[in-house]
Amino acid sequence: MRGLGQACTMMGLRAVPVGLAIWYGSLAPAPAHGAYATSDDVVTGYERYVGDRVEIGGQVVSMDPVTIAVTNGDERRELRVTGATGTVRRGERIRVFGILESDGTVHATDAFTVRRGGLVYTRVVSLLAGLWVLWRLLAHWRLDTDRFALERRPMPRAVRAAVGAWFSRRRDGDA
Amino acid sequence: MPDLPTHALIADTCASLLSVRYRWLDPQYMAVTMAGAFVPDLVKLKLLASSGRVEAVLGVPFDWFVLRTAGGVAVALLVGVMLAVRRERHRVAGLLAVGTATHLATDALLRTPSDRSFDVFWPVTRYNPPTPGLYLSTQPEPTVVAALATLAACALTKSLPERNWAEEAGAE
Repeated sequence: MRGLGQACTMMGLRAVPVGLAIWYGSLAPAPAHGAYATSDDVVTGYERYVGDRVEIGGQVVSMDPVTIAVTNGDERRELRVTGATGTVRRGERIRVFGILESDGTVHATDAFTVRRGGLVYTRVVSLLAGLWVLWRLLAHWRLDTDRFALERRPMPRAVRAAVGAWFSRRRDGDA
Repeated sequence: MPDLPTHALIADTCASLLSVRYRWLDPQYMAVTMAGAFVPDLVKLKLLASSGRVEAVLGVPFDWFVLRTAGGVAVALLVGVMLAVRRERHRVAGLLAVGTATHLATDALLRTPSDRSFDVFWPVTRYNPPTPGLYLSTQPEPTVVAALATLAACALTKSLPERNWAEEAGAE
């Protein structure tokens, strides 16, 4: 019985998150609530959002008129941006909020540029921080393989090392 | 907010401050709070397999951004709690929740072109609260502020009477 319960729990632990991600993925934008169509929506279903307010972002691929490449990670689509004030350079990433027109244009009501290299900076430091968090977790917690459960290490590895070093130094001193 | 180090530092600051009130909150438990702050960043899995690619495999709609909603992180936390041994589950649940809550709260202040944040309350409501737009995720400034806050919290807890972690853990 215990094995069955455990198997059900494990299956639930996998099925529920996936189910939730599927449910969330099936939601249409809800502009009335401030959930506007995103780059993903515009790339995959452009016609559906013509005339709607959309919130997209992309890299500037050409100027006069400003054209950005919008992508969902797999496909990309080039859109012209009109109505935006401020200066923008080719290669910069901009984020735009505006009305989607039928001719491949977004009429911006607000737009801003994202600092050059900003995305690379964010990803690199995030990766380092991820490794730091992982290291801290593994230093303080261990996997009990019998029960397949995480539990606290009896003493943090660093403390144990420090205590060990102190004792060995004392022993050397006595000898 | 912006990047993972900032989230980790904010979670660490909160854990330090909470440890003043909750004596059992030692560095081992603080690591759990940081892990909680990491959860919404699992959205980055989209870089390995975009939502569209997962959709193609599953044949149904799919969105990684569910991990930036209340419902998504609640389920993710439940998985984390179930991974911990039974006697630690209460504390682990609370600490993971603190870390994740600070992440979502600071992300809700990010600048967006529409001045609305994201589906932070889903599935309770689709309402995207307005954001004051304090910073962009690509700015290093918030990291500096968070690091200073962490140092201040660290100094505060260090200035309190000496604590003996091992003895306190044994006394429970």
